[in-house]
Amino acid sequence: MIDKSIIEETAEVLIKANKDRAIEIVKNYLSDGGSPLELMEEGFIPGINATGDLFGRGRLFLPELIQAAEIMKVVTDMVNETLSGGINAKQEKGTVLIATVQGDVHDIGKCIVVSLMQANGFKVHDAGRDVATQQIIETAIEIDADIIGTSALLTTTMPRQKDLEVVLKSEGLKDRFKTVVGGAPVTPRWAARIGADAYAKNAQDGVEKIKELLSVE
Amino acid sequence: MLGYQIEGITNEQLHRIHHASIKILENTGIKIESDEATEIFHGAGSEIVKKGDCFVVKIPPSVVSDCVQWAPERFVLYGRDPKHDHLIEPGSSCYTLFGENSYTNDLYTLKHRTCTKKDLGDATRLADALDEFAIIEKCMGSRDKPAETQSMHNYEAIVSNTSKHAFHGFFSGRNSIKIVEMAAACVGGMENFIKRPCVSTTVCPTSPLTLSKNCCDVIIECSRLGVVVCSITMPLSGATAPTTIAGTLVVQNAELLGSLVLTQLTSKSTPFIYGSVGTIMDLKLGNPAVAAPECGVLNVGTAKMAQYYGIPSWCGSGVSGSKLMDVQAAYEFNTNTAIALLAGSNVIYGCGSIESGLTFDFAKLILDAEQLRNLKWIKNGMDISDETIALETIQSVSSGGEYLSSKHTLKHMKSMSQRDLFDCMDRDTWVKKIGGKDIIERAYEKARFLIKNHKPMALPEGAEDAMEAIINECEI
Repeated sequence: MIDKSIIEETAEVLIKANKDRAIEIVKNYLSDGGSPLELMEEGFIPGINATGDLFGRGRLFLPELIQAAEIMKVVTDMVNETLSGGINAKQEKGTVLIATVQGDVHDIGKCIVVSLMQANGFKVHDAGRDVATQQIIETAIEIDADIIGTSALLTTTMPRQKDLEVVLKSEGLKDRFKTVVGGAPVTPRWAARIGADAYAKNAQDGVEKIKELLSVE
Repeated sequence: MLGYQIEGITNEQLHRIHHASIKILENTGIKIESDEATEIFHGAGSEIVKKGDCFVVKIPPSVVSDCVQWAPERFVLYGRDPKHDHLIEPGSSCYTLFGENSYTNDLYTLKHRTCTKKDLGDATRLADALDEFAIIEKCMGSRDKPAETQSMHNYEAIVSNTSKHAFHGFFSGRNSIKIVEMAAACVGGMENFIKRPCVSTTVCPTSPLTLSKNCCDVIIECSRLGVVVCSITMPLSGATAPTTIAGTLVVQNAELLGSLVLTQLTSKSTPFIYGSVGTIMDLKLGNPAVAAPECGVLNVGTAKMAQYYGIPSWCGSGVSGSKLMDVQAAYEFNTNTAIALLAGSNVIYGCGSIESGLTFDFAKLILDAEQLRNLKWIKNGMDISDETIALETIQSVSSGGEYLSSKHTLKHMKSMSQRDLFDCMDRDTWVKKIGGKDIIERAYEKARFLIKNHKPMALPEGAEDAMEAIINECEI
């Protein structure tokens, strides 16, 4: 049974972005013969969820969230190394491909979405900005994505989100990927009109929508 | 008369910002996503380093200082109608609309909806009717038109509704050439346009330290065509620039100097405007806080850096984060607009916009214009002379008299500030005269009246057909 003080400290090191201490906790726990799965499931995973929750409630700054996500990645890698037979300590909830559409070079919002999704246990592939529709689809197939999320900040590039839906349908891929659209001028109405599976008004909302689409917690 | 001014930054501090930006340009470089622009920088002695699909250019300090010298300090922004010519020079200031709204509150139903080419035309007509706006900026996109030619449709809507000088983003190199052809058709041919260019472009560097392909293409084409280039960068402190305002100023200065250099290397003495709509990112929400106090402080930096280089400045200020025409919208407009004006910014843009620059509101434009009059009045400050001290008049009225019937009052009363919609009536008069109506309702009424009744200067014969033909040719 994992010690309660360790559970509390895992959440604290994530929130306070104390990477060195996080590494120390993992090392000490494992060398004492503790179960790596238990450390993740009872310690770090609830910890990172609490971090995301605090951000959602406006209690945490975005850079703190990004630091927490980075620590989470380091910790997960350390734990995975100790496990044999390719069992992953942290089963990813799903794979998300994310891109800013062609013609659009704005991507700061997208970077926030990437961090928050990683913090929430999704595997995220960031295809970058100004990405052509065909390229988005090819990458989605290659990485076997569950979700394709696109962002458009300009009204002149929003039609590329529609193009994606059209091409996915014409190539018979619409059922293979769920699509989420976002970006400042994008609205739920636009998402419905073009046939996207969801509209995300911000990063937090994006995480919620993806959880709904994939029926995960 | 310069009037009241914010100083706030010493020359030594401006030097420090300048030198930091010069170091960035020389050692870190800026990313240029256009091969043609890379060639131009390279030809002038910049080092080029491959980064991904494009190049980072490292610009020597001597190239930057030459280009700054070549960029003019004063130039005329020509109207289609010469009475609207606006001289931009040290000490001059003017206001204009905010550029990238995607929605509007419908003028009649007040319903929030996607904006159209007609909305852009109506808003432009309204700004044409308001004397507070010396120049026009595209305030909405023609979202009912195709993306590739939208900037051409935008220009058609603008030029058909105003004879003032117009700014808007030309979007691409091809569209730059086509928009200039359209503008030429509206002033009686290319020869006339070259003498009196009546349209200018805005371009946007991408923070941090990137000039996208479209940005470079538009800069290059417009510099060749003799069109004024207004480069407006939007660093977000904490996200695309350092959290500190000084650091943000260094980043934006490097981006603006980079675009300035491209204009001058393409065509020496191209008129260039040094612009910013920078602000902070709210790091709890992940959204830009467009009207944060940092925006006001950064605008002082923008205006002062431009003055340091002897080039005109353009400050984004007055846009509100509020979704409604409410008290927040008014406070936010006023605070940062007043600061940008007092800092000596040559163009202040942000009028008519709420929801962080996503929604244009017609009543907001009317009320912003009225408040701009007040701010300008304050900036002009107080004239102190024998005439204004009025010693003789004070002695002659003496104690217990009145000034209503004095000659001095008759002579100076028209220079007092005037109110239009802002109300200082007593309650009974307010109820009788205007039915106790809210100012926003009265502002919409005024907007409807002006849009219906104001007649902008007509286009010359054949101009409409010529513009339509140019657009059609690009849409085939």
